[in-house]
Amino acid sequence: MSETKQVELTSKDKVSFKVDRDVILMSGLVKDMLEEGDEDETPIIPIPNVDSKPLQKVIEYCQYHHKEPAQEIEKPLKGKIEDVICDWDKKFLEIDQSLLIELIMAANYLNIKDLLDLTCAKVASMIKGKSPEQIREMFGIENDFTPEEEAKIREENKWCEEA
Amino acid sequence: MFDQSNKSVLKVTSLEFVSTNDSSIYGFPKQIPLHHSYKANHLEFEINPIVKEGITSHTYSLNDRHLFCLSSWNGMTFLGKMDENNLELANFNHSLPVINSVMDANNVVYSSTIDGKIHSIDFVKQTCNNDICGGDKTLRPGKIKYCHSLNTIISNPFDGSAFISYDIRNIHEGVTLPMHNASVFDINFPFMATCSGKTVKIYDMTRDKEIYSAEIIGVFGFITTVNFKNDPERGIILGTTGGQIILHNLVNFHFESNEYLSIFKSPSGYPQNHVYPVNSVDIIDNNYLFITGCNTCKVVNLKQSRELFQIKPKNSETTQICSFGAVNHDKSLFSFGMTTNLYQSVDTIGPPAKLGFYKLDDLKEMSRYGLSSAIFSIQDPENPITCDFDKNIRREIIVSEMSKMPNTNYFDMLKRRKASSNIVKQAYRFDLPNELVGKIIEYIETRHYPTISSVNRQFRECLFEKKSITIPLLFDRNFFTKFLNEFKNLQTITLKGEAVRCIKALTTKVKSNLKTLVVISPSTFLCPTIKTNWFFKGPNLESLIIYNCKKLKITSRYPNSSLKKLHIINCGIIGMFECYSSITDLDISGSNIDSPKLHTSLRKLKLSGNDNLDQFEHLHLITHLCLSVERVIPELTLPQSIQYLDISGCKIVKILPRLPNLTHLVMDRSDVKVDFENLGSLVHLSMKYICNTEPLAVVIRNKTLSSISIFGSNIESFNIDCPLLTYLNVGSTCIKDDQLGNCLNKHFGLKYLHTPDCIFIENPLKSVETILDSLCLWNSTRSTVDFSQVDLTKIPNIKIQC
Repeated sequence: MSETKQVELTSKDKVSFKVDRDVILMSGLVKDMLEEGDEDETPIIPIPNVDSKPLQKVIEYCQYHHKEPAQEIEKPLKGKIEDVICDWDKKFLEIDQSLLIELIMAANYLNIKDLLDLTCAKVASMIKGKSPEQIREMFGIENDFTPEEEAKIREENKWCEEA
Repeated sequence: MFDQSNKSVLKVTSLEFVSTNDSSIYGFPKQIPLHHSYKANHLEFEINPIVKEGITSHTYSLNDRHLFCLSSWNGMTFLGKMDENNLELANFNHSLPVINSVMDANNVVYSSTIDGKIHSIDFVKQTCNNDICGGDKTLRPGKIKYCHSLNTIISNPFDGSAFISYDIRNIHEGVTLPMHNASVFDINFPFMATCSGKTVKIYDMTRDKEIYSAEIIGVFGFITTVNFKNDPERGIILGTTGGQIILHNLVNFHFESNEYLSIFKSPSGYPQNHVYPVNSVDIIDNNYLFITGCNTCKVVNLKQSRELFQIKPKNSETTQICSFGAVNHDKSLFSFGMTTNLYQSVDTIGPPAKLGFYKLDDLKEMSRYGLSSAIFSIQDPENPITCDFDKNIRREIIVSEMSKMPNTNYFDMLKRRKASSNIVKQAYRFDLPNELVGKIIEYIETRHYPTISSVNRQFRECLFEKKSITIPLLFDRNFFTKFLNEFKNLQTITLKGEAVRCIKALTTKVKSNLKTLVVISPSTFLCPTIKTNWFFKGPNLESLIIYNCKKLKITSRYPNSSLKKLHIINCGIIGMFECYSSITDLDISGSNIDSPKLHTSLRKLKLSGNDNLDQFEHLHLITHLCLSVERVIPELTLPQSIQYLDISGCKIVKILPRLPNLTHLVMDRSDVKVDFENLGSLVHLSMKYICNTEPLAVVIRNKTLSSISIFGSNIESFNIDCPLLTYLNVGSTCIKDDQLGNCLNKHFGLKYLHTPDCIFIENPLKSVETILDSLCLWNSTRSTVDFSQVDLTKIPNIKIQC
C-alpha cells in the first residue's frame, strides 16, 4: 500500500495543517485547486480567508464526515437542531457564537455544503423563539433601525402577537 | 367504613418513641444533641472597631472563599478575610448607617447608606468612590443587590421601586421599575421577586412584565426574606417576622402549594406578638437552608423536611440576636453576626457585636447527624402575630425627598448596555454577507419571520428578498395585507393545512408578480371552497397546484391568463372542467373529472381515476403522458410525438402502437403487449411488479435501450438483446443462472447489475467469456463472493454493494 497522500493547508494566521487528501476533498475549493494540478508530494494550499481556529474545526468535521456522510437537514427546521443531527455533530457544535459564525464563513469559502448547512441550521435553531433583542445580544448584531422604523415594524408585526 | 379507593401512602421521615419521663428512647433517624457543640467547631471574634449598633448585612465573595463583607448600623463597612482560624478586618467609616453591602465579581464592596448613596469601596486599591452614585442625584436609600448576569447593582429603595443601574461603573444611571412598595427582593436574572407585607410578585425583567403575583396565606407578620429556588420557575422561599419559612412552590410560575416551616417559635412565657424574624436565608445545593434569625441559626434539610442542627450562642441575651448568616462560595464556611436586636430595640445600645464562624463538613455527612423532630406544621392563620416591621425601619431612615422617577423602558437600558458592550467586544462582530444570512433564514419557519424582520436591516433585507414562502398556519389577516407585501420578489407561495382557510386573502397578492401558487388543503371539513378564478387574474401566475381540495370550483373565465401548469390532484370538482389553451402541463390524477375536454396545446398530461380517456391522437404536441388507470383499455391511440409514457397498472388489449420518439416507458404492474423493435428511440424501460399468474417469457430486442428494470416481476424466461445496455435490475425475480450468464455474455457494456436474491452469483459470473469493463453488483445475498471460481481477468473492475 502506498502512503496516504497529504495536503498542507495554511491558515490566514499562517498555521499549517497536514490533512489526508481524501479528507479535505470534501472542500469544493480545495478539490478544484488540486485538480488544476501539480503532482507535488504534499501540495501546500493557502487558505487566506480562514483563521486557524475555524480551520481546525473544519478539518475535524471533514475527518469525521468524509466517511460518514451527513444527513440532510430539512428546511425549514422544525423543532431543535439537536433532534435531527447525529451525536457527533451535537458535540461538534458546542462552540461559542463567534466561532460558529466564523465556521459558517469558512464552510462557505471552502465550499463544504454539509458543514454550511449544519452551521446555518444551528444558528437558525438558536434564533428560533428568541426576541429580536436576544438575537442581537447573542450574535453581537447591531440594531441599526431608527426609532421610527422600529415603530413601523412593530405595527407591521402585530398580526403575529395576536395570532 | 374504610374506603379502599382513598388509600394513601404516608411517608414517615422520622419516628420517635418517648418514654414516660419524657426522654427519647429510640427512633430514627438517630438523634443528636440539639445544640451542636458550639465551642468545639466554632470560632468567635469580636469586631474591631467595636460595632455596637447592629450588623446589618454579611455577604461572602462570589469567587474567594476567604473574603466577605460586613456592614453595620454605626456607619462601618468591613472587608473580612477568614484564613485558617485568623480573621483580618479592614474597615471604612461612612459616619452614616449602612443599610447593607454587597460584593461584585471583582470583590469591590458596594455599600448603601441611609442618605441614599451607594459607595463603591475597593479595599485592595484602598479607594472609595462616592461620586459614582452622583452627589447631586437623589437616590433613595434602600437595600442593594449585585446581579451577576447584568454585572450591575440593583437597589430597592424604601419608596418601593427598584432601581437597576446600567453599569457597575456608573451606578447612578439606570431605570426605575415600579415595585408595589416592595422592600425585600431577590434576583435570578431575568427574574426578580419582590415582597411587600404578605404579597409576592415576580417580574421578568427582559420583558418588563409582571408574571406572577400572589398574597401568601398564613404569613405571621410580614415577609422579611425572599430567595428564589435554583430554578426560579419552581418558586421562592420566604422568611417572615413570625419566624416562619414558607416554601411557595410554583410550577412554571403557576401556584402549586405552600409549605410552612415554623423555625423560630416564641418560647413559652413570651407574649405571642413577640417578633422572631428570619433575617437571612442561604440556600445551598437547592436543599440545605441556613437560616439566621431570632437568636439562633438553624440548618434545615428541605428534602427530608427536618432540622439538621441549630446553633445558639450560649449566654445570649435577649437583646443580642444572630443576624445575617452567610455561607461562602465553596460551602466550607458558615458565619453569622451576633448583634443588637436592631429591629426591636432601636434605642438600646447593646454589648459589642461578634462574628461567629462555623466550618462546614460535607453537607451530606452533616445530614446524618440527625434531627430534632419533623418540622413541618401548618400554622393557625386565625391567630397571626402582628408587628409592623416596615414601620420600624422607616422610622429610622431619614428618607430624603423622593422625586418622581421617569418610568424608563427596560429595553432602553438593554440597548445602552449593548452599545457599551460593543465597544468592549469589538473583536466579535456579526459580519455575515447577505447570502449566508439568507441561508440561515431558509431554516427558519414562517411564524418566526416577524422576529427576523425586526433584528436589524440586514436580516430584514435578506428576509424580504425571499422568492418563496410557505404558510403553514392560520395567520391573522394583517399578515396578508401588510407583512406579505414586504416580500418584493415573491414568486412562489405554498399554503398548507389550516392556512388554506385564508386563501381568499391571498388574491390581492396574486395580482402582483406571483408565479407559482401551491395549495395543500386539509382533507377534513376544514377544507374551504376554492374558486380558481381568484387566481387566474394574476397576470404572472404560471403554475397553480392544488392538492386535496374537496370543494374546488373551476371557472372558465381566465382573462390574460398566463397559466401554463395546472395540477389538480386528489380534488373534488364542483361543476365542469375545461382545459384552457394556455395550459401545457395538466395533472388531474385522483380528481373526479369525468371525460375532461383536453386542449391540443397540452404537452404533459397525467390522468388517473374515472376519466374515460384512451384516445390521445389529437393531442399532437404531447410529449409526456401518465395514465395510472387501473382498468382495461381495448386500444390506446397515441400521437407520434410522445416521448415519455407511463401506463402503470393498465391492461391494454391491443399491442402498443409504433412510437418512434418514445424514450421512457414505464409499465409497472401492467398487462400490455409491446414489440420493442417498434420503439426506435427507447432508452429506459421499467416493467416492475408484473405479477401475472403465469410466469412471463420476456423477449426484449432493442438497439437503443440502455436501462431495464424488471424488479419483482414474475418472469421465468428472459431473453434480452440490447447492445447499449448499461443498467439491468433483475432483483426479486426467478431468473436462472444460465439465463443471466447468457445475458452477461451478450452485454459487455453492462456496468450495474442488481442480481436476483436466490442466485449464486459465481455461476453467471463464471460463464463470462467477454471482458466486461467494470461491473457494480448489488443486492448480492451474500456479502462475499467466492472469486476463486471467477476469472477476474474477464471482469477487471468489480464492486459489490449489499
